[in-house]
Amino acid sequence: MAAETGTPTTLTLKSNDDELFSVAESAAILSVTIRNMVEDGCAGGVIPLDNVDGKTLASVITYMNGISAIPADEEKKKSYRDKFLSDKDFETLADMVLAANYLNMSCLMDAVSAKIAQVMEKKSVGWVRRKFGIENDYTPEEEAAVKEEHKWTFEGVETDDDN
Amino acid sequence: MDTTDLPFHIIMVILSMLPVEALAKFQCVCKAWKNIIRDPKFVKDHFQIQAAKGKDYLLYVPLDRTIERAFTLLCDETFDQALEFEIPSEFRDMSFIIIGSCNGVLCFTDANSFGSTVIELKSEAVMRDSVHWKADYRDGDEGIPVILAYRMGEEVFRQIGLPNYKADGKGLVEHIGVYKGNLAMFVFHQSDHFSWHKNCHLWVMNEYGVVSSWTKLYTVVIDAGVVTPIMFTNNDEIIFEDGECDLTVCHFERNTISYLGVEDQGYLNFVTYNGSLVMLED
Repeated sequence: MAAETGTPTTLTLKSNDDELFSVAESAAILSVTIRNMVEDGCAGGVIPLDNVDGKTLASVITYMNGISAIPADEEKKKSYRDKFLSDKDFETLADMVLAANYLNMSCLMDAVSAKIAQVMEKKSVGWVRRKFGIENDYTPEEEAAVKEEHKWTFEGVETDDDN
Repeated sequence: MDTTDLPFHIIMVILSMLPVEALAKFQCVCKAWKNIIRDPKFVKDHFQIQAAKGKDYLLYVPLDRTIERAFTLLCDETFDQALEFEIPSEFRDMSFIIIGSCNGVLCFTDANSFGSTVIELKSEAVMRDSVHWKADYRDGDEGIPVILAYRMGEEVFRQIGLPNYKADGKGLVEHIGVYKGNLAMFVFHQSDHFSWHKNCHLWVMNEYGVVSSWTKLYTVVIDAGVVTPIMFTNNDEIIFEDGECDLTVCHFERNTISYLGVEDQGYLNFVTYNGSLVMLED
């Protein structure tokens, strides 16, 4: 872990499209995956993160720096997370939840999952299928039957505008 | 990118954060999603996550309800109207009585199947894993009012003596409840008969089970008198119907009176509303 000599240790992270990022070790170890590498002593050179692209990694590092600068105040951390995620579209959120899962960052994982749930809550079934890349495996009759059972849930569904 | 390939366990996490209305809708996405949403373990996990986010409300069911405005949830602090429900179409022909609410499920029964049913307003308090009722202990011909406590789990009854409130007057009515975590008793003259008596008293048992610890905490003056006490709230108040048929809220500590703003006839109870996935299939 960080030496006592004063200068903070910096790590170099490499995305799967070969972008390099410098980040303070104290912020990077929010990721349990990275922390384990540091503790095992394999963080000497460049840390390759094979499952994260440069655009997503840049965003995750912004989050790591932002959240680790906030002292232990859960209210403030929560409002930082809300603000950080407020302008992200569905595709970016999906990339981030995958990255958070791979990097083993539970606080980011929970926050992004909750945000995705919030975004999709009022969307149509068609929108969800498109965005999640899911093929409809119901026959029209089966789908109608499932729908009929819970007719009331189709009130107040937004018209798709693809956001 | 137009499609995403999220692994199954991440989809489970996201779904568990959705409210129940959205989950019922998204059963239509594909068969795999329907199976997740109906899986008993998922239902249980989802319930726990939602329960942690649940809010307390005061449920109000007017006696002269309409189909569109059958159930109303009021915020348990401000008593503002928060949500309204319709009567589900299956039950529209039925004249129902609310029995209670548990885990997001409201239980009611068909009043017609009982013939004419009289609903009695209960005076009960639930605390320390026990339910408390006001009861009369028969000693020969004399009925001595006591509090009867039933401890759940141990399934034993015990009696708790009432405070000595003879000095508060004669012909008093007692209503028990929980005030700031302690067993409490509201004592008043029913204003039907004694409308000139406006003083009401709040007794609190400071040490649970110790009869000598009953203390008279407050005496409040209620101009319109009390006809029927309904319940103690979670905010150190009592709700009652006053002599002018208004549902009234009295805050003891602040010594204030306010009105609930709903009709006096109906059903009122505290519920935690958080939607449940238990689908109650036949």
